[in-house]
Parts: sequence; C-alpha cells; structure tokens
Amino acid sequence: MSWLGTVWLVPLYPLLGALFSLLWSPGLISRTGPRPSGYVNLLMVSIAFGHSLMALLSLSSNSEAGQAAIYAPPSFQWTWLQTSGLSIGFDGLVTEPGLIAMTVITGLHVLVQIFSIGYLEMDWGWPRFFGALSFFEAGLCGLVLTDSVFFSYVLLELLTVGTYVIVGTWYNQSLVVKGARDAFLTKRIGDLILLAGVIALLPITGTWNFHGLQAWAADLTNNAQPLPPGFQLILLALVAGPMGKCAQIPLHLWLDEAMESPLPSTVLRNSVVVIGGAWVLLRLEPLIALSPLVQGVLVVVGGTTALVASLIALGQIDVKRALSFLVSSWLGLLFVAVGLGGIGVADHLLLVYPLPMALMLMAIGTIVISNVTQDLTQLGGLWSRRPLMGIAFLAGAAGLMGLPPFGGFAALRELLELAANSQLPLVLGGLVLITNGLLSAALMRVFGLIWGGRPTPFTVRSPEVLWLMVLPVMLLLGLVLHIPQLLVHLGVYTLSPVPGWGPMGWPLLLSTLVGAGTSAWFYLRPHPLAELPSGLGGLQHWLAEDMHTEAFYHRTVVALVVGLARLSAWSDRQLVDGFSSGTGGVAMEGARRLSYTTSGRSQTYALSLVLGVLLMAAWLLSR
Amino acid sequence: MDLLLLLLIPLLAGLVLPLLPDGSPWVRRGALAAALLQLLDGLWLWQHPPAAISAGWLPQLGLRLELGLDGLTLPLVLLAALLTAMAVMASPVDQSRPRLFFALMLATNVGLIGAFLARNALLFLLAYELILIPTTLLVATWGGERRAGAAIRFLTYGAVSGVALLAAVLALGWLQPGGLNFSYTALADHSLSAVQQRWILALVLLAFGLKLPVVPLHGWQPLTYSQAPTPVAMLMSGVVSKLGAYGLLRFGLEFLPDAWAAWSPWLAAVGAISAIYGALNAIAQLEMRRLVAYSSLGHMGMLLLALAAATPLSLQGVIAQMLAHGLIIALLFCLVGLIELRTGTSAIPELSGLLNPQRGLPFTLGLMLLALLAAAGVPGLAGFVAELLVFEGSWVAFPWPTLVCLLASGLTAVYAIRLFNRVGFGRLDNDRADWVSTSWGERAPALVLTALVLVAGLWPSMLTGFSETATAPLALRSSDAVTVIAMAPANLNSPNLNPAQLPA
Repeated sequence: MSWLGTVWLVPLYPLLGALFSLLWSPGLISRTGPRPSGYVNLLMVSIAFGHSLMALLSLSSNSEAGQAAIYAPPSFQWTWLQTSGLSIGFDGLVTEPGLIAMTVITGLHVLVQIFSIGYLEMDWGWPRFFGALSFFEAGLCGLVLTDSVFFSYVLLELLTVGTYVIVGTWYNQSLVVKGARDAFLTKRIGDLILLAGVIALLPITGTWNFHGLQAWAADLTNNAQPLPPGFQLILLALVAGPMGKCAQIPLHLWLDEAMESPLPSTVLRNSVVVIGGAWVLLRLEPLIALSPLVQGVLVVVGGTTALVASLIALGQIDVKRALSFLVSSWLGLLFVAVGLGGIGVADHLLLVYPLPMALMLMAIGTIVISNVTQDLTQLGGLWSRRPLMGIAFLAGAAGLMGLPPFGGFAALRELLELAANSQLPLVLGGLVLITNGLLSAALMRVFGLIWGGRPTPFTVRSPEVLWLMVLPVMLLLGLVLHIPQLLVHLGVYTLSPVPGWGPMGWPLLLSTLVGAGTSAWFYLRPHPLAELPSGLGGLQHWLAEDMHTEAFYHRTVVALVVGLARLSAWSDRQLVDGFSSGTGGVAMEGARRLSYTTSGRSQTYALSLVLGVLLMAAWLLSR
Repeated sequence: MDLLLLLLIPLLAGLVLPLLPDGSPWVRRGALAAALLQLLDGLWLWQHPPAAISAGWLPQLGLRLELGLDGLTLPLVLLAALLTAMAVMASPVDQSRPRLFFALMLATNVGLIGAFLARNALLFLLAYELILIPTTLLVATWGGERRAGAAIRFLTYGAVSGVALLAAVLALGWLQPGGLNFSYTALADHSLSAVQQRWILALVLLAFGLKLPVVPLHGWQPLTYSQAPTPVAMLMSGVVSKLGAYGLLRFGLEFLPDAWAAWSPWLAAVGAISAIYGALNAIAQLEMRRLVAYSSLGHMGMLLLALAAATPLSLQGVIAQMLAHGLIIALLFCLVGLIELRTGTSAIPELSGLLNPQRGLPFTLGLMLLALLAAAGVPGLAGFVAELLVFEGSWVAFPWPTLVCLLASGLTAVYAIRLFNRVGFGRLDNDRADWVSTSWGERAPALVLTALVLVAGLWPSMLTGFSETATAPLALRSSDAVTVIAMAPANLNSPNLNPAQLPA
C-alpha cells in the first residue's frame, strides 16, 4: 500500500471531516460549543494534504515508480451504476498533473482553514462553514482524480450546491440570501447545459472517459471523417459548464454575488473552485480542437470577458468585487488560450494562477476584518500601519501581472506569442496586451486605494490581526515568490535569464509597466484626476454596476420565467380548476336530482336488485 | 401462500383494529406493526421468490384470483409497504378517531398491494376501485378546510378513471379469441387489430393519465394533496399515483405495444408539457403543499416521457423514477406537515428564517434542503439517478422532449431554491418564533426517508437492481448507441498516453 496507490483516500478525508461537522448541528453536540468542528476539519484537511504531498513526492523522487506512473498512471475503479447496458464508473486516474493540482488544493485548504479560525473567531457558524469548506475540498480532489466527464459534471454540480450552502450560511442578511440564490441558479444554468451535452455525447462517442474521448477524436481526425451532425452543438453545451464555473460572460453574475459569503470561502472559491471549471475545459480540449466554430466561440467569449471584466474591476469600490472580476478576466485569457489551441499555454496559465490570487484575498481579508469595511473609498494610508500585508498583496499582484521574474509573466508571454501567431495577430495580440495592462492597473488601484493615500477615519487605527491569520499569509507569500523556481524545478520553464523569457517579452513588460505605472501615479498619492470628470463618472458608474447585467437578467430571463409561471398558474386556475369545479358541481347537481328518485320503499330497491341479477344471469347464460 | 400473506396482514389488522377500545395507543402501534410486518414479508419474498397463485373465483366472469410478484411489482410492493409504515409513523400520536383512520389507511394499503400483485385485469380493476373509497373518506373526514370539495373532486376524477379502466378491461377481455379471459398472460399475447388497440389505449390513457396525473387531467391533484392530512398525502402522492405509471406500463406498453409505439411521440410531448407546466406552476405557488403537488406533476411528466421512449434504459428510468419520486415526495409532504404542525401554517410568505439554530426548526429545515435538492435532481441523491436514466434513455428516441424535460429540471431548482430561501433563510419572525422543537418520534419517518434518498443516490442499484430483467422484454426500441459500455478500462493502461495532453 503505497502513498500513490491509496491516493483515492484523499477526497474521503475532508468528506469525513464534513460529515463530522454534522455532529455539531443543533440538537446534537452543544456542550463543547462549535469550535471542535473546526479543529476536526483542519485535522482532516491536513491529513489530506500530507497524503497528497507524500504521493507527489513519491512520484517524483522514486524515479522508477515515477516513470511507471507517468506512462501508466495508477487507476482505480468504482462502478456507480450498471443497468441495461449502461455502466457508469468513477474511473480514477492518478496523473502527475492531477497530483500537483491536488497538492495545491489541499495545501491551500490547510492554510485557509487556519486563516478561518482567526477570521471567524467571533462567529457561531463554525460547523456549517468548516464543513462546507471541507466539502469543497473533497469535491475538487474528486474532480482532479476522475477520468470521466460524467463525474466531472456531478462534482461541478456538487460544488454549486456547496456554494449555495456556504453563501447562504450567513442567512440573516437579505443580500446574502439573494446572493446565494443567484449564485446557485446562474451556475445551475451552466451545469444543466453541460448535463445535456454529457447526455447527448454518450450515444455518439460511446464513452464518457476523457481518454476514450481523446482517442475517439484522434480516430476521427486520422480517418479524416466529418463531424457527426449536431456535434458542434453538443460541444457548445459541454463548454457551457466550464463557462459558468469560470464566471465567463454571460454567466459571470454568480461569482460577484457569491462574494457575500465570509472571506475565507471567497479565497478558496476565487483561487481553486473556479479553476475546477478550467480543469474540465482543458480535459475537453481534444474534442474542442475538432471544431473551429467552438474554438472561435471560446476566443470570443474569453476575449470579451478578459477585456470587459478587467474594465468592470477598475470601476468597483467593493474590494472583494474588484478582485472577483479580475478572476473572470484572468480565466477569460485562459479561454482564449484554449480557443487558440494552446493547451500548453492554458496549462501554464492555470498553474500560476491559484496561489497569487489566494494570497491577495487573504491579505485583503486581514484588512477587512480589522478595519470593518470592504469599501475601497473608506480605506487608505495603511502602508505605515500594515506594511506586511501590503507586501503580501504586492507579491500576489506581481504574480499575476506580466512582470518578470514573477510567476505570471512566463504564461502571459506565451499567450501573447500564441496570439501573435494566430490568424488575427493584431486583434488578439492587442487584446492580450490591453487586458494585461488593465489587470495590472486594476491590481495597483486596489493596492493604492488601501495602502497608498492618507489614512481615513476607518484606517487611523489598524492593529495587526491574530497570528492565526498572519502566519498563513506569510507562508503563502513565500510560496508565491517561489513559483518561478518551483516551475523551473518541475521542468516547465528553463532559467534563461529569467524564467520564461522569450519573444514578445518586451511588449508585455511594457504593457504591464504602462498599466501599473499609470495606476500607481493616480492612486498611490491622492491625485485630482483619480476622481473622474463628471462626464465620465457615468461610465464608471455603469462599470461599477457590472454594466447592469443583473437588471438585464431581471428584465429577460427572470421576467420570462416569472411571466410563464404566472401564465400557467392563471391557466391552471381558470381552465383546469374551473373545469374541475364545474364537473364537481355537475356531479353534485346530478346526485341531488338522483336523490329524488328514491322513494324510501324497500320493495323498489329489492326489485331493482333482482332485475339486475336476472339481467346478469341472462347475459351469462346467453354466452 | 407467501403472497397472500402480503395481503392478509393489513387486511386482518384493518379488521381487528376497530375492535380495540377507543383511545387505546395500540391502535396506532398495531397499524405500524402490520405495515412493518408487511415490509419484512416483502423483503423476505425478495430473497425467496414466491410461486404465483392462481385459483378460480368467478370463472363465468373470467375473474380468477391470480397473484404474482415480478421485478416490476416487487419494488412497488416494497415502496407501498414502506410508505404505509412511514405514513402511520407520521400520523400524530393523538390522532382523532384513530380506529377508523388507521383501518382506512390499511384498507388503502390492501388495495394497493392487491393491484400490484394482481395477475388478472379484473382483479386489478377491483383493487384499483377499492383504493378510491378509503382515500376519499380519509380526505373527506380528516382533511383541511376545503376537504369536502377536495374529496368530491377526487372521487369524481377517480370514478371517471375507474369507468374508463373498466371499459378498457372489459374490451380487452371480450376481444380475447379464446373466450372471456382477463389473465395477464392471455392479455399479453392477444391479436388485436391496430384500430382496436388504439381505442383501448385511449381508454387506458384516460384512466391512468387521471391517476398519474398528467396535464390536463390533473385538476384533482393540487386541491386534494393540499387538503389531505399529511399521512394520507404521503401515501397518495408516494404510492397511489404510482399506480398510474404502473398501469400505463402494464396495460399500455405491455398489452398494447403497437398502439403505444404509434402514439409514443404524442405521449412524449404530453410528458414534456406536463414536466414544464408542473415546474412553472410550482414556481408560482405561495403554499408549500400546492408547490409540492405541482412539483409532483412535473416529475410525473418526466416519467411519461420515459414510458413513451420505451428503451431498455428509459424503462429502468421509469422504475427508478417511481421509487425515487415516491420516496422524495413522501419526504417532502412529511416535512411540510411537520412545519405546519409547529408553525400552524404552510403559507410561504408567512414563514422565514426557520433554519435558525436557536429558535427555528433547524433539523426539519436541514432535511428539507436535502429533500428539495433531491427533487431538483442534484447528484448524490435519489432524484438524480432517476432523471439521469430517464434523460439518457429517452434522448435516443425523443431528443426534443428530453431537452424540454431538462429545462423543466432546471426550473425545479428555481422553485426549490425559492422555497428554501423564503422559508429557511432570512430573518426569523421574533413575535411568532416560540416553537417547541420536533421530537425524535416526529422526525423518525423523515429521517428514514432521507436516509433512503441518500443511499439510493450513492448506490443506485437500490433503485434499478430489482427490475432489469423485468423491464428489458417490454422495451419497444433499443438503446443501441447507449449499450456501448461507458467505461473504457482498456484505454487506461495503454502506453501511448501522453502526459503533456493532460492539464497541469
């Protein structure tokens, strides 16, 4: 029983932790208070982290087993359903990328759960909160282990439910409840379209396994066969799931709404849960590559999201929302990479993303909890008071901008190179450069508004927070700064002279410097131009309101459903119900009339009985 | 004899219970014991398949006491026994007029088991009609404010259904070439002309469409379910309505396959319309019981779609949907009943914040969330297994109606979340929130049902294992494309696996 062979246990540890939390539900354990539930969950996710780290190390240190595992990954089977020729199994597959992803997921969960103990010091919702966090971890670890597109759907859907529960936990506030609802329903749309695609896929390909699908696609290409009819539609449906999960326009609403939940869950959602969608997208890439149409859709959707979401982020005054739109924007770039067929580039974009985003959000969390506001206009001047967190935020931001030698640079440069070699080099290359500039500007704006400028009434006193929050941030800071070294160590990049330098390095660096520099000039010190002239204020307002997307949904989808529901309720009352009470009335009237035929004389009844028996006998005899 | 025991247990209990002194706690206990005993007997028969019974009764009429148990009916018998037990448990300890109440519940159970076990159409008809009487009385005597109207309407619709079935059964029997014979084996291999089949199928559809129900024959359902006392609503929605699905499977698909195949596109369309109509109506409801009733209508629409598709997989979906829906809908009614019992209302606008751990009903609402998610078809719960089989099985036959049903499944989430957001989340009304929390005795039926819904979601063989051999011969279409095994283990260890193709 090696670490590698028992990797399937990893999702089960946190699941067990989540189940343990149920013991602290109301009416069961109340004497201890809710805190032990948090410790139990922390223990379980730590075990999960230890296990996946050991498995990863045994893969890379034991060269023989490692080599064997890379070319014939250990697999495990669990048949979930078998009936009438349909057999659905979990089909676990332990690949090296999966192990890396699992180590990142479990490691971040350990840090965030420690962080949460500090963050939720005064809260009473521990069992639900920690249970839900562990549930997320179980779902994500399952997602990276499964080789089945069906189970990927199942797990994405369960993550959707997890979001609903974790957001709704703080249900005393009406905004939270609305956020939970919107988050669930928006993601459910994407999930259901994905399910439709999954269902339609099986009769065509005969398999739900990613590797089977890859082989099927290769077969199709090698034999130069045309795509089955309707296959592009199925592909679009399959892509809708990741689109919803990665908060791409037009399914981006939920991420912003889900911000209502406590910050530690935001950290995980924005760093690893959204990546779950991207993971599934990457695994579908062999199929997507079959259809230029779907690739085009991905480029358009991703490109629009990248550009527009970064603009929207620039208009936000809520710090959590500002960062959540940057999530959409970054993942938009990933969609562009997949659409352009750059699976390797998309891989790298995915690799470098989670840790810096988590670091920034955790740093923000320490500010929000001690300054009791997340409104950017009420913060400022914290550099003299909270420099550690400022450095942490800057490190995270540097990790996502195209700034050498930090983590994000190499991946963005590769994307720029890919775009420059595409059919639309100017448009797509420009898109990447502008998005990178805007991303850098938005990140620097957040930094400037919090740490730059003069102290406000909210920030005059800003004590450092509990060590339980500072420690994980510092640990993560170290990790984020070492991402390039880690990637070089793993052989993703070579060290020449900085990791990932190559063609198109200069333009990318320039766009970063222009974006971040302009933003720093505006926001590090209060600058008169930081307040937009009134003519442009409307634009900022429009962006701050997420281009009125929510109102748009209310006027279209929601209005349609509500209207149809009212219409059918009306028709049910008027037609069906009316008809039914009509028949009821007729029956009652008939019964009343019929009652006049009774005379009360028992002879008449007896006679009718006898007549009936005689008739029946006659009929029987006549046969 | 084993089979007769299934019928005799509730029959004898139903006859003996009224003889006990009024107000004796043993009335409720006796009814529960009878239902549990029946359940045990059913489980025993699952492991030890009984011999069919065939005895003459009124040979001149073609009525024979023919009973049998197969993969189609075994799960339904178990469901009926289980839900009877749960319904008895869900009835209040101080049930008013307990002797009559429980005797009528057991009479309903006798009718249900009789209908499921019957191997003779006339016998089925007798049992089918028998159920109508106790259920009507239960609604009329113990129902809500509008119980009289609800009972009359239920009775009227039930009577029409019964008459239509009577006509269909008589026609099937009379048109037998070998003389009057209502035995299933005879009915299954008749040689009716296409026109005859269609006429009879029209009657069968009317009869069971009313019972299921499907749009637009559902007029009785919301009113009856909202007025029936909780245990009766559990039993009616959970099992009695399944009689409609079973009837369509037996009389429509098995006895009249040609007409069924000819009309199946229309049936699929009606199913899809029912699904979407039920879901939309559920969204508009302001009363929890009515919401659950319309949700049931929607799920029955999906069931009809699967019946129409009639592929081996979709028929497995039919069985799974019958069981899953039976468990889920009974659970929902049980929980709504608990909420109503504590708060005194089931009006959605009057409730909020019930999940509050201190003064709300957190346990009940926690189970409610699970039940609603199960109804919405969230993976890991029983409803998803059934919907998956229905969709995957029907897709190859009727893609468009299947898509509409998927959309309806999306709308299911809308009303589930809407209900839970209003009732579970939000601020608790401080003036009214002084409720006693529910006792373990009251929670027990909901807990058992929740456990089963969970287990069935994780281990779907519980829903499909009974019936595969029984449904396969009924299939009209093959689901060829689907029979390719979804696993491809051969690919897993192939050496040409390129790690660079995997995401990092």
